[in-house]
Amino acid sequence: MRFKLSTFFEYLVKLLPYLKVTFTYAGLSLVFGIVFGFLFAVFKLGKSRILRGIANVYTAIFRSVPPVVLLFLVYYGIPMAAEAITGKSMGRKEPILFVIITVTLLATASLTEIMRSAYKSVDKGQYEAGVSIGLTEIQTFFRIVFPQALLYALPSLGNLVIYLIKEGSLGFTIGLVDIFGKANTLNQNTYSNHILEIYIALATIYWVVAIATEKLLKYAEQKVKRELGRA
Amino acid sequence: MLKLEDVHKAFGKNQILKGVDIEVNKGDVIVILGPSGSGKTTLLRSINFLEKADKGKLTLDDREMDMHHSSRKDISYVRKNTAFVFQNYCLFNNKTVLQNVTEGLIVARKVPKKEAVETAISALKKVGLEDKLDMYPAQLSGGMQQRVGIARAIAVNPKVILFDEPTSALDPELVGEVLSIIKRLAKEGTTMIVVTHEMSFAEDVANKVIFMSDGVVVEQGSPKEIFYKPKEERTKQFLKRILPVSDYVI
Ligand SMILES: Nc1ncnc2c1ncn2[C@@H]1O[C@H](COP(=O)(O)OP(=O)(O)O)[C@@H](O)[C@H]1O
Ligand SMILES: [Mg+2]
Repeated sequence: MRFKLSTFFEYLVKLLPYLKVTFTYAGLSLVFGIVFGFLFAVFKLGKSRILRGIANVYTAIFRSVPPVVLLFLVYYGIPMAAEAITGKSMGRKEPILFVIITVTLLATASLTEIMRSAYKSVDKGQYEAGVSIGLTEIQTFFRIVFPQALLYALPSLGNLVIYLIKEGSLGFTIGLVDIFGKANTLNQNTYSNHILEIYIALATIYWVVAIATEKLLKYAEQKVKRELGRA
Repeated sequence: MLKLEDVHKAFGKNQILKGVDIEVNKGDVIVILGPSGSGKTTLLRSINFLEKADKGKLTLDDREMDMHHSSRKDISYVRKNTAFVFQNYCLFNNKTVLQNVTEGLIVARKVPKKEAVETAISALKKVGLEDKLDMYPAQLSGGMQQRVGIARAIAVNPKVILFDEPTSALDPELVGEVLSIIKRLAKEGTTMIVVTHEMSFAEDVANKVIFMSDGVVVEQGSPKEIFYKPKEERTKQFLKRILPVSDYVI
């Protein structure tokens, strides 16, 4: 078997449109993860022992369960639970829905930790200085604490995006046709005759996406740093 | 003008303030002395509601407030009329020197930007930093950072400024520049409460020295009375410790 460059490009072009699916679940999970992660981070930093406990249990569980196990639990478990509760079958027609739920659960756990430590990275004195000079708590948070916490969190956010994109590729196991799912289909249709070209094209796409994410985050970091005068 | 009555504060089982009374008149420069752990910081923080006292009454001008059951309005009123200078400066690291000083004016007091900048620059002139407006805290020495902290406090024209050991985090060679600025403010009639161990400062500008120990005011009086004729044994012991070769206590 020989590697043919023209075949490689042919599959690269065939796979690329499915990147949209990958971006959809990664993007949505990131957004939901930020919302829920923020909530759990507030719980973790708050005074209520019960809420702190809930957030701790959540992050402990979802950071230790292997993503593929979680995906199966979501894929089989949620429709079963829904049927038990409503008495109606919800079916499993939209694999992307289950992938988004799974990746959101994972993202939430990571984002809780990222936001908690980013908040902690800004010393409490600056917050106190803000309120003592007459700013409200909310003004102090958004004008003083948040910009500095964001700068601290950006590198981990970049790593998280790359991680989410990779974990989501597990969606093929439940029939999701993203770039990985599509690559598998193409490979089966050609009886593995072009296996190298297909998977190298796929790896190239993941690689470019990861590099682009990193570059984008570096750029954002520089921009925030310049705003903070630390460049 | 500012009056504290019967202030109590505990952290868990640890009773830190056990009924403190302090009265501050306009133009007063009050120095609080006392061993570490005696509750000086906690007292200043309680005034500014950075800690919530368990009990106590705070009167600022004509407004009486329950320090434990304080309303948001009370807190905001006190914070807008007082300013705090922190031991470790606590500047806003994401803001320039100028922005550190204008923040309390523009955002908290809704002063128009142009006016705020003018006020801030004149405050920064008083601390000798008018040529550092666009620098960030991380680019400044500790002494300069604390001077920005002082400018931030005076710019909002508070009724009283609370200084919590403003020079104790500084390298010895930087203490002088900060201390002389506070001295000048004191001589100009700024009302202030200063927690410090700088005896020469206290002697020079304080009109009242308060000695605190174990969460109570042990003794108060003029610097002369406290340094040369302390009545209480605890005061004598403390002065002996911080002035080992004492020419104060005879
Ligand atoms: N947030 C806090 N939680 C628990 N204990 C505290 C807290 N802040 C201060 N303390 C305790 O209160 C005591 C008095 O502290 P402080 O007011 O800082 O004294 P001083 O400023 O006179 O050195 C210390 O023993 C300190 O450990
Ligand atoms: Mg202290």
